[in-house]
Amino acid sequence: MAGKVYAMRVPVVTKVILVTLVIRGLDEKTRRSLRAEAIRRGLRLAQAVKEAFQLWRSYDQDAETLSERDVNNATYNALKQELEKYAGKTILIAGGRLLGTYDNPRSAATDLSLKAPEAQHAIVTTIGKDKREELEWLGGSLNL
Amino acid sequence: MARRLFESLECWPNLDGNRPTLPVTLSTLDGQHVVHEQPMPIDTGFTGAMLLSREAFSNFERAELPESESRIYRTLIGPVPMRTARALLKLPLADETEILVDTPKYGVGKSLIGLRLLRGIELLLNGQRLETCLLEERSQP
Repeated sequence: MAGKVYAMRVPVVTKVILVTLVIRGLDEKTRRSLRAEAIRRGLRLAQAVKEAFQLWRSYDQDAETLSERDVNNATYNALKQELEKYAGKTILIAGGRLLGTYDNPRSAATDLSLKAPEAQHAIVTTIGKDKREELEWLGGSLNL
Repeated sequence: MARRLFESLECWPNLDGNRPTLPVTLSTLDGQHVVHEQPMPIDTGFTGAMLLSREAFSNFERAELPESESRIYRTLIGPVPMRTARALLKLPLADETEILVDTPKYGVGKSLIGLRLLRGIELLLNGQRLETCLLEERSQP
């Protein structure tokens, strides 16, 4: 047998995981519109969502891979309804996990140094208080 | 209307001779100085507290708001979405306060002081002397 090389057939097993995604809170108009657009393009709904997501990501040059920021935001969005019970409290999310609730943002920052000193990104927000604001930016220094 | 008298406490020369500035100290929520008494231009057309360059903003990413709560600015060229984070600000002759700082989600941004930061301070933009001064109201003699 010495000096001979035998080719062996190695069985390849591909594991396919099918995931059912439930989107809570998606309004009827968007759902219908998404479904209609998928049919128009001859795609299954999952393919349409995947394509739309890839297109969305292609606009964000910093987001070639899923960043810590993306993971933390996804965690926040997933927990958003549940977090409403902490109204008035500050919550801390890092590493894709809810690390705690606090009386103020500074306490959250102190705890972050203890619980996740290696984190490059964290979400610190006060539930019910921090809300999206639309402000104005007139001319002046508006060349980004 | 009663006449009011103000005393200038401290003044700083305008940047490049024409941009009013104030020196600011910015720290992270856990107290690490990021910017120390650095003169920052004032832009009264920016209604937020402070805009930062992307590079400066990266120091505050450990206390960022969720993307869904970050600010949007209405501009002449359409809405500009921001990334918003918490920071500690110290202005001359004032106590340290917590503020929200922004950087554009797309683009490199720049550092400037906005209108919201000027609330609560008395300021003189002196065009003749090309300087910016912090003021304090004096009681009438």
